[in-house]
Amino acid sequence: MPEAYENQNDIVLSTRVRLARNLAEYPFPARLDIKGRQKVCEAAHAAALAIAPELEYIDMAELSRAKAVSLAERRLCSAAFAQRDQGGALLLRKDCRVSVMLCEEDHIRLQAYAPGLALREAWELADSVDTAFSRKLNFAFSEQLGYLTQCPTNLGTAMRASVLLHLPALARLGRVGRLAESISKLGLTIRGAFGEGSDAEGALFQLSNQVTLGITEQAALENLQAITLQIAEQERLAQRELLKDPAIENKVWRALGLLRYARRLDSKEALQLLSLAALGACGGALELPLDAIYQLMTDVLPATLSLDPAAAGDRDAARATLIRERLKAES
Amino acid sequence: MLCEQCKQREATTHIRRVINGVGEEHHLCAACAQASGLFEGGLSLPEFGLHLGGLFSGFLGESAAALPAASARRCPFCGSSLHEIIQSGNVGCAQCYDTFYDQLEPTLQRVHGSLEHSGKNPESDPKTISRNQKAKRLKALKEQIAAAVREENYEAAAQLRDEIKRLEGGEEDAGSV
Ligand SMILES: [Zn+2]
Ligand SMILES: [Zn+2]
Repeated sequence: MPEAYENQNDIVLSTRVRLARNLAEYPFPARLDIKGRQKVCEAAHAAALAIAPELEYIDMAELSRAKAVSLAERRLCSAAFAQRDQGGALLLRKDCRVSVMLCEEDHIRLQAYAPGLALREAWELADSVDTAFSRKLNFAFSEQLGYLTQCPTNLGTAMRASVLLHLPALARLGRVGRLAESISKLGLTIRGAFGEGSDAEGALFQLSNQVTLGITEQAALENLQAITLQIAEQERLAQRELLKDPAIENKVWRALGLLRYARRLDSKEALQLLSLAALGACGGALELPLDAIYQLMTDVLPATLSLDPAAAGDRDAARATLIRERLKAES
Repeated sequence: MLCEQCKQREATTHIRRVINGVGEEHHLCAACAQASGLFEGGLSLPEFGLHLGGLFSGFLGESAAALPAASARRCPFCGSSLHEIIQSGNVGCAQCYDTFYDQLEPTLQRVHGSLEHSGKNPESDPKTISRNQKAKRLKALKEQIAAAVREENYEAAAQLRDEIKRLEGGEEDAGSV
């Protein structure tokens, strides 16, 4: 691995650790009406003001649709939560390293983020915010079942740790399925990062722990870390193998040409081209700033793009312009 | 590998529900995985209910005989019946886990392969005294003070008052994030 790629960030875009918590005094969200949910949001908001005033309180009912969906595109909340209006709120740190969904599937879903592969860092952040909250709020907890959650699949640590992986070579070689089969035996799961598409667009995948009861946070994180390192190594080998193929090399260069000169791009094509360019950059065929490409893979998504005033007219044209500007040839 | 549901698209989503003991595996394409509601991201609560309904249905088969007796019972806190939990796929509240533990246990065992939590415990944090516990403790201390004053044991009363102050003051020292 080239030294420039710290934290496996040639393959791993970001790390997220999510903790589900519920207030013992209230039924779970599905059993609450809007008023009840608002009360839970208020209780959590009051606690946040005391322990973490830097968290901004966002009432989902007051957000425009584009802003709400953009939060989901940037993985700061779930897609279902972005559709929520009354009785849901988000606590968000300005640097987007911490977000807390209030009254999603559980009363509190606290998420901490870090770039690249940084499970320890994300866990420590989530853990510290959670501990601070637990001194203000009475979390539903049982010695035997751990943190009590609306869905029994999250009982125990109620922790879901995940890494966002770019696996263009393994996907192209049709190896993700086999890989997934073997990791599923280890209590992990992998899926396309964009649920709505029929295939994993942009070759982005989310790898996360599946089992939460009977396994400590540390053990689950170590497990995930070890598997992530192995997948990253396999992807690098596959990239080298793949780029020896002149047809693939050609595709990579053509992608760069389109990214630099196209006047209109829809988000699906943009993701495919960016993925190819990233493959070329990782494999050393193209000299491109990889972090800029990965950043674009979020910024070109429809809702996020539409927040830019420049995209008010023709969104596909605005997308192509954004990409051209970010990937300007040095010469 | 093809998606087990539509048998048309490549399966990109792979889930295994149990680690210890017998496992249940699913291999789905993104579209079918989304529709099945097997995942946290991007699914609505009703979809999720479908999935859990499936999750619980196995247990229904196992202990259908036990159901009539249990089905009349309701959670004293949220009013959920076992039937509603199975239908909706959502457990109603924290106390439902106590109320319906015997009925939920086989499913929990199947999902996790374990029934013993290990990991973070908010109650082991010395600074975290739950609101309930704290209120109870304060009430007990105040009763003890009243008793001490009645018995003219002012030294004990002063000590109790200090403890109350400590307990009430302990609220304000949580650090910022
Ligand atoms: Zn399918
Ligand atoms: Zn209940």
